[in-house]
Parts: sequence; structure tokens; C-alpha cells
Amino acid sequence: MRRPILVLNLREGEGVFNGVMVALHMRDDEPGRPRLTLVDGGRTGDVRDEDALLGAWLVGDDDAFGELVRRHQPLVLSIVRRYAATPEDARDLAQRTFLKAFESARRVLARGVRNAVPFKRWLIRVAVNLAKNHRRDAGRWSSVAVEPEGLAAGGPSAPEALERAQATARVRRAVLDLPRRQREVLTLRLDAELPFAEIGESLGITENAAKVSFHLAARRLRAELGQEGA
Amino acid sequence: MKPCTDFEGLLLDQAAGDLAQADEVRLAAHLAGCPTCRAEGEALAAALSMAALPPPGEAERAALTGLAEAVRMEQRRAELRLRPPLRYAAALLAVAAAAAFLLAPAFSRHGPSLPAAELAAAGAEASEWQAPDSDEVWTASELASDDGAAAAMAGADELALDVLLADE
Repeated sequence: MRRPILVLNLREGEGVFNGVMVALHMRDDEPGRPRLTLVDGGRTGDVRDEDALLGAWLVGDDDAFGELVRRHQPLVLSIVRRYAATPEDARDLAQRTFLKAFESARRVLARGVRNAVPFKRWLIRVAVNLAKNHRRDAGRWSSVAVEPEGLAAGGPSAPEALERAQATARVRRAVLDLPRRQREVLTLRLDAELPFAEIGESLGITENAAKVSFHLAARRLRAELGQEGA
Repeated sequence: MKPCTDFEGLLLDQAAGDLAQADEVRLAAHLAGCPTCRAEGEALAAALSMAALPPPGEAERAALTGLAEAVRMEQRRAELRLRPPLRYAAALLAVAAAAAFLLAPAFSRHGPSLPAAELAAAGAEASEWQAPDSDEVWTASELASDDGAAAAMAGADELALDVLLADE
């Protein structure tokens, strides 16, 4: 049985958790597993706010946990796959990202911190750091994702296609060689398609600083492409 | 050739997909008359397009199957790993209880206990015992039956009396 980590001051019924109106129910099918649902603003339990999901997970709701993972796994995959050598490698990185992010969330929420960092931002930060460490530890300067499909397969292709594949591989390697901040901003923008404001918040920099880093990175890649073409 | 300084930032914003609506018309008008900036914009777009990864393939998506369950299971394992002190405490208690059971007799203040049957027999004997008659004990003793010794004792008393009388 799970230890109670967070005291919600809630018995069965409604209450406020992290500024969100929630209701705690005891499940008939599994009496030991309470369920927390969102009741704020007429929203139903199907559209569960992230804070409410986190709160529900902390009191032992495995469904809330599963929903959080499923909701964010495409984002995490998009961040880590550039650094993964194989799909299994990417899965391992994604799994470690979730484990670390949940651990951090539990620690922070157990201390009763209000207005904590949103879970998504935690995930982004953890994924970026793990990916960086993974690249450093494994000594991988290129990965499967860096190699364009046509070039990696080594199949016959038209000269133009081969030339483009080579240029693509060169530019993707140049991405991995970018200074850390530029690389993080560029990949969060290109791979995870995050707005600059969210990139800045996740990396602890201003939106403008994120834009400047992106511009610097884009110039470098443009220069790399220019050398290739020369 | 280098792009126009005034428009380089806008070209980068456009490549990033972050060009403000107000700047779109201004940049479009400039690009219509500036082949250098147009070429630079195309080169930036091409570089970023190459840098971007293609969408995840089937193998990558399939690798994520059951990720939530795997993460949950790993979390439970981690929680169990955090509890060894409890396990050790239980084992230590068990060892301490066994040691106490084995060593307790050695530290007891009373002697070793007798089996229950022997205790019962000793109790029965104690209840049957009666104090002996002192006359019977005296006559049964060797002193009472030794006539010679009794006479010697009587002679000693008389001698002592004689000594006392002589002193007076």
C-alpha cells in the first residue's frame, strides 16, 4: 500500500487542490484506490487538468498517472529521439525522463509548494538534460536519427537525392555540434515545435534570449550548408 | 553576398516560423525586389528543413507501447528499494528475539528449573514430613547408649566439685 505523501485535507467530497476544485471519491471496484476528479468550471472528469491529475496520482490513482504519461510521451519522444541510437534507446530515455520528472514532482508537492512549475516544463527540462548526458556518456556524435533514410539504407538513389542526403546528414551533425544553449533552443523549436516563450520558461531564460539563440544556431547551420554547397 | 542588415532578423524570424503579422507584408515587399535576401531566406529555410527530424517512424512509436505501465512498475521497484531499513529492522528484531530465548536461562536469578514431575514429588514429600520426638532421637543416639561414656561424664563432674571445695 502506498504511503500518503500529500495531505489534501480532503475526505470524500470536494475541495481545492493547487487552486483547482477537485472531488475525491472512493472507488467501488478497488476500495484502496481513491480517485480525484476535476469539478472546476463544469469541466468533466474526461478533461482533467494537469494539476488535478498530479494530485490524483499522488493519492494513488494509477489512471491519472497513465493519462499524464500518455499525454506527454509524444513531446518527450520528440526531444530525446535526436540523441537516441535506436528506438529502444529512445524509449529508455523517455522512461527515465518520466521517472525523474515524477520524482521531482512528488518531492516538490510533498513539501506543499504552491504554484509549482508545471509538470510539462519539468518534463522538458529533464528530457533536455538526460539527452545531453546521454550523448556525453555514450560518446555518440551521431545517431540513427541524424542519418537520412536514403543514406542510412545505402540503397541506390539518384545523384541529387544522394547529394541532398549527404547535406542533410552534415547539417544534422552540425546541430549536435552547436553550443549547448543554441542546440537546446533549436531542437525544442524544430523537434518539439514549442513556442519561444515556452522554450525560454523551460530553459530558465527569457523569450528574447531564446530567439537570439535560435538565430545564432540557424546562421551556423546556414553556413554549414553553404560550405557543403561550395 | 550578405543579406540586407535591416531584414536579416526578419529572415531569421520567418525561417523560425515566428514572423510577426505586421512584418510579413514589409518583408514580402522587400523580397520582391531583393534577390540576395530572397536567396538567403531560401537557404535558411533549407538548412532548418534539413536540420529538422522527420516524424517518428512506426518502430519509434511502437517502442513506446506500454510506456506508462513500465514507468509505473519501475516506480514501484524504486519505492521498494527505498524501504530496506524496514526489512533490516524486522530481521534484526527476529534475531534479537531468538537470541533472547536462547540466552535467557543463563541470566536468570533462580537456579535451573526442575521438571514438573520432580517438583510435584518434592511437594508431596514436604507435606508428609513430621517433626521427630526429641527423646526418641536421644535414646537412639550412640551417646545415650554408651554407658562408659556416661560414667566418665559423671566422674568429671565430681572431680570439678572437689576442686572447688578445696579452693574454699
